[in-house]
Amino acid sequence: MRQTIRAMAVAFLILLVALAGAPAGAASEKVIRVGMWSAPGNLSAINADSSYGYFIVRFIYDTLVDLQPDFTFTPRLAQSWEVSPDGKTFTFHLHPEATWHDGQPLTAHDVLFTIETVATPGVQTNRGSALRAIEGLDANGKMTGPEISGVRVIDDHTIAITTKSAVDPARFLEQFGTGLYIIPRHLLAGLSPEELARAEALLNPTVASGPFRFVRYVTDQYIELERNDAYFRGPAKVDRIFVRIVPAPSMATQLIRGEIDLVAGPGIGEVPLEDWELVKNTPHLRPVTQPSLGYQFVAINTAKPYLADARVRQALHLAINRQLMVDQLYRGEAVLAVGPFSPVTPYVNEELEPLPYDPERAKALLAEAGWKPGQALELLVPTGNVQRERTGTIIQANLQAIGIPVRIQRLDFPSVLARVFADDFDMALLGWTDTFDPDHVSSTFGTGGQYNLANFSDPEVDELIETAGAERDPAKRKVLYDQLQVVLQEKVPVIFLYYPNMLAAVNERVINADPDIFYFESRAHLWDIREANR
Amino acid sequence: MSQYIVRRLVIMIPVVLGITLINYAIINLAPGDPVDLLIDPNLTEADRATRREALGLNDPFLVRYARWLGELVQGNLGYSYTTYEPVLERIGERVGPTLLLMGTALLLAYLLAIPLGIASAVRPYSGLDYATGVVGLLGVSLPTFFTGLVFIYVFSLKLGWLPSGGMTSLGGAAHWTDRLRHLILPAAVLALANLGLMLRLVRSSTLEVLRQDFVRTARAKGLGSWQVLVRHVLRNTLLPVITMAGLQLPALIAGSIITEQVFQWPGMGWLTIQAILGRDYPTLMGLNLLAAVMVLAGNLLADILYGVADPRIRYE
Repeated sequence: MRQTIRAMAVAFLILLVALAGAPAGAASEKVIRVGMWSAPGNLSAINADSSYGYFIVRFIYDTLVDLQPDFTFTPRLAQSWEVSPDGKTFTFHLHPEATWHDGQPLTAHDVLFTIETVATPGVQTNRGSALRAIEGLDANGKMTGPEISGVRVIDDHTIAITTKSAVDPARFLEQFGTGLYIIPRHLLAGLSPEELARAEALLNPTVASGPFRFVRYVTDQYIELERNDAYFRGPAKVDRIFVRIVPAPSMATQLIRGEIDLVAGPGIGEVPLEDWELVKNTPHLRPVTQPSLGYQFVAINTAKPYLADARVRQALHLAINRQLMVDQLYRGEAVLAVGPFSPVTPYVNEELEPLPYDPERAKALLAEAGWKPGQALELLVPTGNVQRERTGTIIQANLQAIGIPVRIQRLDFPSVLARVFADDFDMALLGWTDTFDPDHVSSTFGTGGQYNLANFSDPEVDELIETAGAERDPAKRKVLYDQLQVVLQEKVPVIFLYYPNMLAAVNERVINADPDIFYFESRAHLWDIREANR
Repeated sequence: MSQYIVRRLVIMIPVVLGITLINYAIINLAPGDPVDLLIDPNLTEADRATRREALGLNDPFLVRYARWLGELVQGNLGYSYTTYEPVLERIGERVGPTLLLMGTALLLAYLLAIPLGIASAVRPYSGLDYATGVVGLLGVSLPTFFTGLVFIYVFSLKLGWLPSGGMTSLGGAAHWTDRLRHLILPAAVLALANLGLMLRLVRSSTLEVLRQDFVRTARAKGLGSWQVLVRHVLRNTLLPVITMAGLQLPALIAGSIITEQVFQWPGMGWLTIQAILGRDYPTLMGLNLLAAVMVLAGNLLADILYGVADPRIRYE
């Protein structure tokens, strides 16, 4: 028997060595492989369930314009556009050679069809906010009659959109111009809302218009995309892109081994902090980092009587040692938040200092506000993000140091959200990923805003948000938003913690594909590979 | 015998129904529904309402359960809330990979555990016995998450022998060896995790059988020790092993949540965790139903196999 076991072990080892040979030889094609943490739920361009889905959508569909990292808008499906003198009508001139992957021309009628589809009540979509500003639609961007008065097809390649009121063009171009993916009318016209939700042309999008065509999705493994040779802005430089599903613990290994060339970027595929040093020290990898667009924060339920006093909330803020979190938890790869605008955007108030760590002042403020000694607070912490869970522990220790007992409740993300939406919480540790346009504060801090989790309501803040949102001139808007950040720092609807840095890496052989927070995948037609392959 | 099986099958129907009702209740009472989860600045209040209505989340719990049951009777498990695919299809495409992974892992574990367990029982307190004891203990106590990462670190990153994850290379498997290369690490991790318990089980059961009178009688008759082992001991040793195998049948289909995730193996375990985190009720119900049926079938099968392995056991 012993011989048998030995023979088996030897046979196994031989097999292992035999299989360990080099993987399949490199094809002559130019291929780039991207690593992404999770599988997309679905790939519908109007209803993808997650950032993972829209990451793929941006390779295969087109928006009217692209946003560049310098905050300018560049042509995509729209070759050019004008804004009328009253600032309300945007006329887009579409690329005359734009076609769908099946050769059909892509025209202004497709754009109109996309708007109408998303605006139809009963259609399942998450693109509704792209249309909110359009004349003739209600506050949710839905149709109230058979036609939309603010949308006019002028000819096959020209469409004019009128907004309800004059807005900063950058705001409308981001919301509508980069937020709406144009879908093919010739494949989808006439479907009911129920049929649209399960439409083959949306869920298996082999006919779209972008620089890459969707080839297939191998369940939980990878998405395969191939170059669209007839792309109207010129064919892409690489033949094929694979987006591979790689869980966080394997990301660094796969980058180092060359199983993937780059990561998908902020929030959907990054290098875990634990592996960051390893990746930085790997010669063939180029580390790429940038502060994120989104911030981590502690929402404070201002509807609770004991948290209604701004001095109490200020005290909580001052008692928390945020610098410690940045230095220790993030090893310096995060930026202290002064307010709800990312340091990468032009709207951050550069004059404003972050609130300091000052437990003594915190205690004084609590006493001044008549805080009941011994009053305990509960902190909801979603599980799954190690840095966030540890942040919760630091907050607990910090608040305990000024005499506030904190009970941490760790729950899975949906359970935390359910309690926050039901207003059944004291504090919750969460994060936002925002738009580039600063008006997102109307939803998070405006009275009755959809994502005003803190139930915060303040006339001064409302007034600033409203005036700034309606202002057309970016320079004047900036002044108002600077003021808003000062007020928010005083009234503390949430404790602004930090903006974690995106931690990304790219194989040196790949060029023009450095991940960033500006949807670098929208520029995938420029991605390339250095000639001398490794 | 066949009467017994039919009776058992009939009893299963109300049991399965009861399980689905309890599951449905637990899943639906967990805080946070699939629409709460969509905390997306692009999603307007109206779009949320539309979605909630379309998914039927506004109806009372019992109405939804009745509707689900009605569809089930017609062989329809419903559509996923996140991918909009039929649940049956979603589960169907993952059964194969999970069977391949779990089947290989369990087979590997049994192939090692039975001979090693018997060998260590025949010579207790020998070097081999201690060695298998240590390996078994390690297998049981190390979480697969950890062994998985260690294996990736050693065999993939440092030695570069095997791929660190996935079921095939990108673009599909060119050759069956490609699939096999991807299978080795996750199967080894799972085999190790299962090995420990089985080793101890085989060892202790063999020790017990070796002490029995009929073994002494067989030896007294002058049979060689090899023959005693194969003809008399092995057969009796296998009884508890069969029980164990029956209990593991559901795992064969349910897959391993952790290992599948670590190695990006597109199986049932990974689907389960995705469905839970996404509050994808129809997919979860489909998975639970399958698991319930497998548990019951596994128990039945184990009971039947007892009869085959041990002629003393008879069912009326």
